[in-house]
Amino acid sequence: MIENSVYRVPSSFRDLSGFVYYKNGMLLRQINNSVADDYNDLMQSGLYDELVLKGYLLPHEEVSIEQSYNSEAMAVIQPDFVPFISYPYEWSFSQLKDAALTTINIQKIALDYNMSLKDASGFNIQFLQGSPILIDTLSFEKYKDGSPWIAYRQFCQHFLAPLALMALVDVRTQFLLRSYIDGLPLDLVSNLLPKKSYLNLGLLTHIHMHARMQNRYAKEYSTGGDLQNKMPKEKQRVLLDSLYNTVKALSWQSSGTEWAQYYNETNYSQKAFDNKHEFIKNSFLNISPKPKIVWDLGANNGEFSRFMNDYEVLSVAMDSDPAAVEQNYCLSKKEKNSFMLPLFMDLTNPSPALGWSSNERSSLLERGPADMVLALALVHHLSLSNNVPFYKLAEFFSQIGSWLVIEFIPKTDSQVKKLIHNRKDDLSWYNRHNFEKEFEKLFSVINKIKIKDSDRVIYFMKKNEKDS
Amino acid sequence: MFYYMRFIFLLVGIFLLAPKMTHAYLDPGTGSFIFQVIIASFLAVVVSFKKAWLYIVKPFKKVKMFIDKIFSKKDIADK
Repeated sequence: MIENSVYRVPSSFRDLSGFVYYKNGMLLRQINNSVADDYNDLMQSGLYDELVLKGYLLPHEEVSIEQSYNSEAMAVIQPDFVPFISYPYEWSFSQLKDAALTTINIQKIALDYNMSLKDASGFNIQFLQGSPILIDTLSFEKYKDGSPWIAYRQFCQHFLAPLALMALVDVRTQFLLRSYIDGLPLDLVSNLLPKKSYLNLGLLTHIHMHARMQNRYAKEYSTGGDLQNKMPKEKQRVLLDSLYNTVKALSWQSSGTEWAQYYNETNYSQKAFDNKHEFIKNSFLNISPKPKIVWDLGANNGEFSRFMNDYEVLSVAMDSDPAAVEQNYCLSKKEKNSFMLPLFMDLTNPSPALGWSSNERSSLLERGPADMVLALALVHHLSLSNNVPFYKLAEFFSQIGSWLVIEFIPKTDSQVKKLIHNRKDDLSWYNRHNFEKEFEKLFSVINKIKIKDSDRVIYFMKKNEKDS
Repeated sequence: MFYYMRFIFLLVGIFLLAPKMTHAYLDPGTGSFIFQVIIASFLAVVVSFKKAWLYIVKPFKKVKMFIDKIFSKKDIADK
């Protein structure tokens, strides 16, 4: 983004009531005249205050109308800054579940104020200070007496359906959210769910029966207009309670997967562990100005970036194991760590740009760069398991951050030995000398140590400034 | 009682699960709109039955709790 420019956020085009744009370096949201009544009701009814107080809605400040993008504006607001945008296909099971429950809670409160959510999209929720929060101020409309919840289908597709699949089929079915960014088709989910899900009252109704009814009525060209006044508020509350209880009852146990017990089974001694912690913390403290955002890649349960909470620095802790991400989220929630954002991310195939014109949802790299990157016990996975040469790794890291703490684990390490014991190809290139040679083309090594009680070496590097 | 209601739902479910052709110009919103009105009424009935059931069993639960309390006190006194 260029300073002193006006730039409309590519994802903000679906809602005709307003949109988000950058102007002079500020992120602003224009509210169009067409929804003036709904916006005024939100602000004046007390709903905005209650939702902000409960941490359910992103706070904003109204700015001068002169900052508007075009003449359709009735108001311009500046929402609080969200330092990292994440997407539902990157969240752990419990993150998606908490986002779902927050959406239902918001709708319940909105009904108290005679308002209603017109969207229940997973993309309207972000994680801020460790908790899910609604970022779309324009999602509210005046509640019409007797009207059904217009976002019911969207809620089922964006939240209930993926959660049910993750809980009852396989947690990796979350990947479907990448393909279906408007939510999972209910007929598909109904087909994939096991037969026992028919005995679950909530899933039977909101997924299986719902899927059948969609097709049934689509064929009959019914408008549903005659049902406008058929659903009193009390019945909508019953529906919301049912959705809430169905989501709440879904669970997934993260134990028994590859990394779930990693730190209990690793080859580290306590001395090595402490030495590594100390080096990372010292490197972090040496960076000036203080980093605002750190990407901890291959973070496992966030062990080595957890301390950043004390310095109020956000750690985006990414891992390719859903169990590790789940553990990190649950642990961070328990510890009330507000500066940890655990995300599911396979670095060999990170989140791509998606949606309309391939720029509705940003790729991982478009959401960078970070101020600092941690790559601990990661290089051997990328270089040996995924055959990424060192020069490609150095290139990648130079794109995503200015400061880098990276660990090199030689072939003599027991973990690496396990990884390559069946490999017949020549791996002589995988050595410390070649690693340093390629990284020093793009980075300057500030500090490096051999970790005590191990063969591992850890580096603190700074990206070289470009000559041009 | 709750299991009885589940059974009713299963019957309704079987009725609704009869396969239907998917129309090419599908507007899934309409089906969802109509469906939630029907299902909310059903769920309201379930909740009413559940509440009624809890109301009926409440005195029995109190009696059971009272008896349990007496016996647990006796146990402690015995020890």
